Amino acid sequence: MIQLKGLTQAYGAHEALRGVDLAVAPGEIFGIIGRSGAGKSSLVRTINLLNRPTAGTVTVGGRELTALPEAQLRAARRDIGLIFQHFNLLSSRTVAQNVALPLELAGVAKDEIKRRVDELLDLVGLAEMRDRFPAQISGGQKQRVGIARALANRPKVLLSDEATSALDPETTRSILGLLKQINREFGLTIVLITHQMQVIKQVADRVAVIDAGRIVEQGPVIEVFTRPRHATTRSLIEEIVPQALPESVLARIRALMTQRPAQEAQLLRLAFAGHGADRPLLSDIVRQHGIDLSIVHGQVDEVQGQPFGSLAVFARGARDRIDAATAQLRGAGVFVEEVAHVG
Amino acid sequence: MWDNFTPQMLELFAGSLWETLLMVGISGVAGAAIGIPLGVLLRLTDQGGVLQNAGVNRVVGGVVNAVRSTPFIILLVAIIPLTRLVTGSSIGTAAAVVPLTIAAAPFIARLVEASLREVDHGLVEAAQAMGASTSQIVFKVLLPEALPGIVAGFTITLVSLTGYSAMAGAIGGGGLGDLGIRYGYQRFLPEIMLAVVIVLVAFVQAVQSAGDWAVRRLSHK
Repeated sequence: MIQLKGLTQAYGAHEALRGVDLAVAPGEIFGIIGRSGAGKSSLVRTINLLNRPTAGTVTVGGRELTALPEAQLRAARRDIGLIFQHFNLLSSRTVAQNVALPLELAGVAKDEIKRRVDELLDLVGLAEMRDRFPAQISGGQKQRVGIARALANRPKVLLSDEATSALDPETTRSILGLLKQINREFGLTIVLITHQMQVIKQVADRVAVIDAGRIVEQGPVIEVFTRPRHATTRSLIEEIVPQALPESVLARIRALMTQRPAQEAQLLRLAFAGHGADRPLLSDIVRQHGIDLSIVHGQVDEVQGQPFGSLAVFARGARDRIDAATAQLRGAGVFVEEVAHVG
Repeated sequence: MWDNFTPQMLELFAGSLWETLLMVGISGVAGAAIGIPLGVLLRLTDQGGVLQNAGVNRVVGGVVNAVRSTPFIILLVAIIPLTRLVTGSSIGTAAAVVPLTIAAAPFIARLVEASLREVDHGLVEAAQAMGASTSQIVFKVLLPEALPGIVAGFTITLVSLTGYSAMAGAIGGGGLGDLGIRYGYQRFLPEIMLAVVIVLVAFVQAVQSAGDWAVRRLSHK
């Protein structure tokens, strides 16, 4: 649905994007995450060519936007809805009039506009608010108006530029729920730009991590979450799944390790995802290999109905036994990493 | 002191008030008709504007500044050839409307430009993302969003024009200011002068209150 090839965006000597390649499949929710200043905003504005890239091509729905003359580009932009962090609603227009704006711009007939606006306001649950002004409604409601407005011209793609960043966690969940519902009901392709891993975790199918104008990592959300390779990804995931052990836990481990220095001991971090996580893996290896395991720290969560998590376990036993247990865990699809060992 | 307020004098007052209303009203509307497009042009061609064009912006901005920095009393006489061309005469109330309009237009242009600048760029960006053309951005987004500010600016302009119109007496434009100078000052009738000032104060108050009311009605921020 969206193909970006070799996108480069330079502002003088500063390069906001440096050769971004991305492909977004029809009907998926694709997340793009990065810290502020990583190039996220440049990237989203390049997809609908509000920013013209210095080099590279943008293809949306099979049409190469970078090759279109201005007038055709304007028409092509109606296929790409955009929602914003600060909503960008016209304060002089009511809720219904804001939703009607893109239809007016496209020259849609009056009665058709009315019909479509009613439909959209029902969809986002704001039918009763139709005659209010933006100043009279809440942030979450404003974003719903923004979504209704973005959907007015039946776009093929919806771009969301930090759409939940100005909202509280509960409102964020409800807005993300609405996006997910729209994605399912209309098969709409959605690109979510965000700095919040929580957002990616809740709705995205795939994720790309952007850092200093480059895509440093991408893949299905569950894979990236369980096996982050790039340092930026790790630090972003840290918000949801702690990647490093808290100092208090480490202190406790050091105490444990000095207690019985005669015995081999290892501190392992296990990351797991998917349905394998349902099996009693830990009790299996304890039984089979006769080692001691204590869980010292951990977090188990869910991404798109699939469990995933990260556990720090302190394993004690003979070296070869621990190694055999580790191998068995790896065989079962668990990512195992040795954090520390003594003996 | 009431002896001076003869029926003829009261008639003169009414006539002068009417002349002031005519001069301020017509030049205000005509000034807005020229000033609003100029203000829009200044905003669009400015840095970060939709039609960014430093050359056009500098030329238009320069002309606007030049007219604004010319003292009104000089402008009044300097453009007499133009005035004669437009109204057929260089004296009278109609003739005064021309320089008042020329003075009002750049003033309004700057106030409109400032109001348009207040419109969040995100709104323009949203409109562009919806495929809006430049004229759609101007008429559907910029002007409606800036309208309360433009009306507030227009109110300021009407008040300033009321002040300028007092100088119209120099070319026989009449009006309340002229009445005050001729009778109050030159014939040494301070009560006439006072009456003129009181009427003008009331007039300006009325204009300002009406403007404030309109801004409140229009603004939904």
